[in-house]
Amino acid sequence: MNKNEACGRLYSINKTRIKQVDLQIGHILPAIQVRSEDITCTRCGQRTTKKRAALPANHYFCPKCKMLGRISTLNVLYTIPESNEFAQILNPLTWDGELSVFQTQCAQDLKKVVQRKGNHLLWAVTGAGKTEMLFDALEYAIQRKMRICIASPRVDVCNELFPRLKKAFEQVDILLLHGRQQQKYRYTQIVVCTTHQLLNFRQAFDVLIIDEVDSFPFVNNKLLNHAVKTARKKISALILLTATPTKELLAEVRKNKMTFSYLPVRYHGHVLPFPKTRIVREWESKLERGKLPLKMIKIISKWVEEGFPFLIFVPRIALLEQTYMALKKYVNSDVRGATVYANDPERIEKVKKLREKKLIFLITTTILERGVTFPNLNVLILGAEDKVFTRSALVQIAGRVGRSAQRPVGDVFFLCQSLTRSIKGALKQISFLNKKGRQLLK
Amino acid sequence: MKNCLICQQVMFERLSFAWLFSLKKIQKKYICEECQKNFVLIQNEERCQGCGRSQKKDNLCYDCIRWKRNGEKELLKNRALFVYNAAMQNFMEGYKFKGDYYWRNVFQGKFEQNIHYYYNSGWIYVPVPVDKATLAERGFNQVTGLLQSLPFNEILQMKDFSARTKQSHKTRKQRLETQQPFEYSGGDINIKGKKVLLLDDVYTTGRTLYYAKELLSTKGVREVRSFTLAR
Repeated sequence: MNKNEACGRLYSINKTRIKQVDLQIGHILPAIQVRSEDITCTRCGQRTTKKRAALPANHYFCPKCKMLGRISTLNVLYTIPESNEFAQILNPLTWDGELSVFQTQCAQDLKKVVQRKGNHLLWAVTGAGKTEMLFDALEYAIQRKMRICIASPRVDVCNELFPRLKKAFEQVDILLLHGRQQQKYRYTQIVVCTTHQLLNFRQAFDVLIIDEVDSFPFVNNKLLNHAVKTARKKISALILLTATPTKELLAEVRKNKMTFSYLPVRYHGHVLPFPKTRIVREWESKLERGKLPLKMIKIISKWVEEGFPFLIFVPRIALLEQTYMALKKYVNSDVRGATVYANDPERIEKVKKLREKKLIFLITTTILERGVTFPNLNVLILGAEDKVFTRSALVQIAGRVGRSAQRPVGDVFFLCQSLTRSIKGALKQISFLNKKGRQLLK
Repeated sequence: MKNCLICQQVMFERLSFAWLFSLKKIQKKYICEECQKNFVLIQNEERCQGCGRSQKKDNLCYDCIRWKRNGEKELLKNRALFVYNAAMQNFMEGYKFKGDYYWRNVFQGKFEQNIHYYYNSGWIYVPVPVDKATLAERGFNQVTGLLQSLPFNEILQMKDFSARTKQSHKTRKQRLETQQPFEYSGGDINIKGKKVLLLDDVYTTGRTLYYAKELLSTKGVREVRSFTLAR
């Protein structure tokens, strides 16, 4: 075993091979704690009933984190304390962009957080340029040989972040780590990973940044809290980035458990496009008959005329094909589009085609709700009343629009049977942000 | 409400009118109907008599004819429950290789019922063993995991090869070239003149099962057949 594989990590090893590890430099933890009724996993901190977790001969495994490789009472976890053995880099930042006045303010806040190793929440609207605001803080941390992790619940967000960070810090070794790829773990100063992967670390990071904290599938706060608590060092900085903070997060700020910065304006100095709602009754039964609501056709024909690309969100995968077939009837055949869903093998390909303007529209589920940026986009949600469109999902979807400086405006339509609490909440949040933003711009 | 073990979707219990007035318990479900559909049962008349593979007719398949030609007098007459398709491969991945022992429940009942039904009396049930290193890592034998109350005899064990590659990591050719991997560990259990039913999870080339048969035949067993979850 390579020493670096266990440095700041939990390295699972079979009990029969326990002699192979060096107990001088590291120590061993039990993988599973067994109690009378249930078991608790050391790695993910979750409880499971004995019945679900049983192996023969009174052994137990944890089914909750098996996607990271099963651990059981047949294993122990070996860990070596983080040693921060990195090369000294004096000027790591190779980015030559410029921050706006508002961005600079937030960037300074973040740098201070890293200096005093505190907890911080950055609430910045979608398209505010959050990543760039991190650079100052990251530079400071890299110069001082701190170990850094930027994690997000979403794979897409990680995939987008990774190349941007590599470009900004060319001399720094950065690792991208998530379940859908084959890249093996190695010891690096910066790790970009999904929040699940944090469970494999133990007191490793001096700076831990979580991007899009509130996004699916990490709504399970217990697991997130456990992952964050164990992956960061006892004295370390924690920065949470979000465009749609939950009430719980804001409550933490109010209780002074976290410091806070706030940016209601986008990097190009414009506020968010405000979504328009349209009530469409019985859209689902219309769709079954191969028809679309009249209001929707009007919107789309206007978009087609303007020639800008657009996204249509639907609540379920099953509706993708129906919507696509129905839409085809109303538009010319040269208006090309496609459907995209989470496990679509051509998902990345299709998104690329939209960017290259080979496609004009995509019909999709909530998977494209965040992390993807197209210029000149318009969006529409069909069935915005569905419960998959949470308040934060709606704000995120609206946030796809108007991200480029050339066209900071655009259309956002929520088509729904009725105005749900989520829709009202999203509208309220956007109008609040815009009000604050306008005050700032005055 | 519970989630399907395979696809994690919430499962809804559909209650029939007949059930309402019957004394039957609700049969516990582990996977949803959608996932269940992906597992294809092998029909009795549409399978090879030698290895149990799913095919149009019930004659011997090409592979079994090859076994015969290579000197195998008596075929295993393997019976398999399901077609080894993508769904089954995915199941084996989750159960055996990812090691979720609880997944045994998905097929446990069906596996045992069918053994009871087809091979009721006079058979000694012998599960194919797992080698020591795998057992230490995995913590269970995937075949005995599929059995709940069936009395079985573990009279075979893997020879102790230090660097054995798993069958599942080999190509077909490599599999057929393997040496006898088993040794007898039954001690003085009397198997002379008895009938043995070998139990395994998947019948792929038949190589391992025929080695087991060969070994048991030298111990004076009258007949050896096999039963697997998938083919």
